[in-house]
Amino acid sequence: MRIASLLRFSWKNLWVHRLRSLLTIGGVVIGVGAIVFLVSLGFGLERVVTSQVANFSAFSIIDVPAANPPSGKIDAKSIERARAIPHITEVERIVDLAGRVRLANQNSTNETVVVGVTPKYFDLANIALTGGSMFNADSSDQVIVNEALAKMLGFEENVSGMLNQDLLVDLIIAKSIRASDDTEGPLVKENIPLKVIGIINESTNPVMYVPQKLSDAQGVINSTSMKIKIDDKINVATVRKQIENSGFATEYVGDTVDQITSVFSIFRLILGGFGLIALVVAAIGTFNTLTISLMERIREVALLKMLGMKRGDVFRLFIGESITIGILGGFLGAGGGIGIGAVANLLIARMASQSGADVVQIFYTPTNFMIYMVVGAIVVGFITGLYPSYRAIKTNPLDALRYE
Amino acid sequence: MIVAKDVKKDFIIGKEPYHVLRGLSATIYEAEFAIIYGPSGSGKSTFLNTLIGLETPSSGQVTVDGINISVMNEDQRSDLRAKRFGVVSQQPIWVKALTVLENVAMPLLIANIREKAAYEKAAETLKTVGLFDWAKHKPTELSGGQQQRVNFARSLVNDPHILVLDEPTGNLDSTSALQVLKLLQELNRQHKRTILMITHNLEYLPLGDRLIEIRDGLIQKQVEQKGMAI
Repeated sequence: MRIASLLRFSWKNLWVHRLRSLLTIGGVVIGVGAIVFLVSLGFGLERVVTSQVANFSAFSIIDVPAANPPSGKIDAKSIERARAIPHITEVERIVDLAGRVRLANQNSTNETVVVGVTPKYFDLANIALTGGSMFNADSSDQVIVNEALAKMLGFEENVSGMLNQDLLVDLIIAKSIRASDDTEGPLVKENIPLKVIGIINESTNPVMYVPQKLSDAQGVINSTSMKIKIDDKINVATVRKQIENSGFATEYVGDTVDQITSVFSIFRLILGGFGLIALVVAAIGTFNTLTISLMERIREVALLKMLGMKRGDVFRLFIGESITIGILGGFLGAGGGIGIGAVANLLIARMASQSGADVVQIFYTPTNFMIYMVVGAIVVGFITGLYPSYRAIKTNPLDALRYE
Repeated sequence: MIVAKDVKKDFIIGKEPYHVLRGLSATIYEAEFAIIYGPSGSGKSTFLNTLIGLETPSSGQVTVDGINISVMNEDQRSDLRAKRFGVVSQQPIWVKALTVLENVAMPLLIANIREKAAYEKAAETLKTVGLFDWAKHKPTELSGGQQQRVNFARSLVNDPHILVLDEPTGNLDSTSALQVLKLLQELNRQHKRTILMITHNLEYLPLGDRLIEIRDGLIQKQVEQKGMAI
């Protein structure tokens, strides 16, 4: 029998018992829909958390903090060695210093972190200005502060009021990063005048970024860390290995993301498990429907065999019905699960925009997952149809013709 | 031509073997109208089912047009039935999801014929039994006599060499039964189809060219005659 005829025949058999078929397909739709909906919640939450941790470009950046001297010291030579490693496109040195800051016209001081960088650092670290402008790499009196520092210095209500303010900063320079001198312990450079030209919204702790030229002018020759850009994230592992072999530790945002992913994988499994219960119930329902359908049509099977239908065609006829249930259930279920997630996203977005919060999509369905679910539903349909189809093959037409 | 040689068939009922056919030999020639008759439980239907490959003999041999079907597997026997036999059961059985036209076309669809050609041939065959107007109805919406005519149409649609009928008039009134017998005789005499029919009704015996009486699983009597025209 031709496949087209068999499919049409299968479809008519389902259609003649519309209510029963729709209920059976509905069961699969609910099962698949529940899995898609719940697992999409897992994927969506993972994506929200991951995006908070790192943007896409961060996956090609490695941070290398200074380790114990002498091998762990980041000096001009170690930076040159890093630049020579294949696949490294940029090496940005970073100088973290402790500091004290006050407005030039006030006496009270506050502690802050002072970071000596070049403007390129902000690109690599994906830090954007929320006000003002970027400092000039050659300047030695410009500074960018974060909002936490602005608030600490009295600009809680109007952070942008911090722009163009004159500051006086004390830099505390550890011995490990400055040129050798006779002073033991940290060296303090006091009352360095700076003008605020930019504001960022990064970190909840007070931080200020000064041109590296300024920190170098205070005798800093080594760095506290390096930020390294790799040409492609697939080379990250190779580069990290080389850096670590030379005595440094490396920090990579992908490690954090991997941990998040592994946590969310378990979360998704748990959510998917709840949905799977519904799908198993639906599969049992499908099995039951197909078995009852076979019992009702046992004389039809006998007739078809008497008319010369081969065992393979009898099998395909019944398995065709169960696969049709799987196909319809899979597509409608996946569509339904995605649709309900999309509606939930819309409602959440509306509520978020009304309350002034960031808009996030907590339901996200990767295309691969959707395809797997549809294929999975078809496989479930196939498996549940195996036994009834096998029984149909084994039906003795003469027994069946006597069957009432 | 169908040849049965010393066909035996045993069933195990409980633990006891039950000898339904106990060595039957018969030959039904091309274009013959053969009638098998005998009391209930004598083994008529089992013999008929053995001849068309629905039943396999416990021993002995059945050949159809020179092909030994006793050694064929189930699919090969199904294929043979699809190509050479038209089968009419006592009570029509239908695929309930399908229309009259689709039911009649089923033997052609099973034989891998394209749907368009199969439905055209089915429509043509329905016209010959006068039921084309019912083509789009479900078979169960028809009367018993009409259903049996559709049953005939289905058995004829694939132009079988041999038409096998198990009590085809058993559920029909005398007028419908006569119509069926006329149709059979026309198929036999004008279209040279081999007819193999089981009946309880001894009044039909004059119509047959070959009469095979079965009792207790054995051929009691076999008669060759010139069948009487209706």
